[in-house]
Amino acid sequence: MAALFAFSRVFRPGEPNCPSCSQILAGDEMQTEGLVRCSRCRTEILFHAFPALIRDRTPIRAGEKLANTEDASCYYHLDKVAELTCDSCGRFICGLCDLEIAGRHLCPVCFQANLSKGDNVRVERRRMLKDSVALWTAILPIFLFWPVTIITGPTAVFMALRYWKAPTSVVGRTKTRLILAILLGLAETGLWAMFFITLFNL
Amino acid sequence: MTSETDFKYRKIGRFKGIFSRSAFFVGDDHFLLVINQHFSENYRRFYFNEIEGITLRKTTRGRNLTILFSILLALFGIPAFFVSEEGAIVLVVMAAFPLVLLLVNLVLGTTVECVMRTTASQETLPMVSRLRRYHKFLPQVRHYIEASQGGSLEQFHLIARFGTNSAGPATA
Repeated sequence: MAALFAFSRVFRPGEPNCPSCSQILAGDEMQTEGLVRCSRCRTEILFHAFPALIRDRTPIRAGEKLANTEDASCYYHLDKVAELTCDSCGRFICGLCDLEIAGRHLCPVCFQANLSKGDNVRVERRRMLKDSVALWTAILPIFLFWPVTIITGPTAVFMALRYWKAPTSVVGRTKTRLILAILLGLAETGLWAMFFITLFNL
Repeated sequence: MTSETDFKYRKIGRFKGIFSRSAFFVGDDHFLLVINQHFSENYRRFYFNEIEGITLRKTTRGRNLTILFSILLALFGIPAFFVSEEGAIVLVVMAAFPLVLLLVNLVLGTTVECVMRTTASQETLPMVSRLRRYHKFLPQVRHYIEASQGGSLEQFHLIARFGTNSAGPATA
């Protein structure tokens, strides 16, 4: 999984480099129509650049030092001037602590708290797909060890109903998986019920 | 609070592997790479105004697949000339599979590894695994990025900034 998110071992913003040998590319090696060979390792590469590559970078706001003790200081950095307040908790925060997300200014603690609650969709990096979990709870035991379905069948139904309103994928999903989980779970539970009824009748 | 319905995504590419699937979406101000691992999803966002470039590197996967399928084809195909008719039919049928895979691999073309590079990081795009796919992918994403960044970049801009192979980097 890590290989999907690793490419060149060296990355520096504003310095496009060969993905194989990390040699910094020259201007004539970029924006080419076809593949060109790296001047050092001869790997065939193609780099399409956009204006952000040569744009001057905005310096990181480190926060202004507190010169006057009468000025309000940052809640997390007592030696820095408070520039604004957190939109969630109201604490004074400096430029370094200010995290602007979708027009709201949050302090690091509120940012992290919102992330845990799933309120910050724009920065969420991972999400469990509870509808898939419910569906696979119903399906997988059938192929692996079917007697377990006496437990997993009702469990799948419970999970599907429990997580009916839970957020699924960020890009949106229908309730199909939850419905299938309920139907399969009910079918498994029903079959076991019929089995036991038949058994007791015998 | 930001809700999911605030963001509408449009899919512009996908990849299906054995253990994971990935898809590439375009949103209001960013691209979204979704890596689906059956029970969870990982998200990577690329904001239009932060994308520095798209890097492509030719890989040996296509060549290795060609060699593999050719070997399998030879393994099943060549003995077909030296066995009985019934055996030959069986071998030819078995050789048909690597032959089809070989032809598909050749038609799909050069294999590449594609990475989207931003001001903060770089991430591999699994759905762009062939050069042909890249040539379809780039126009789809270019106009979003260039519209956000105020235009495109010509090579002479890059030469002025990074120099050429013979002249070296230009001074600021």
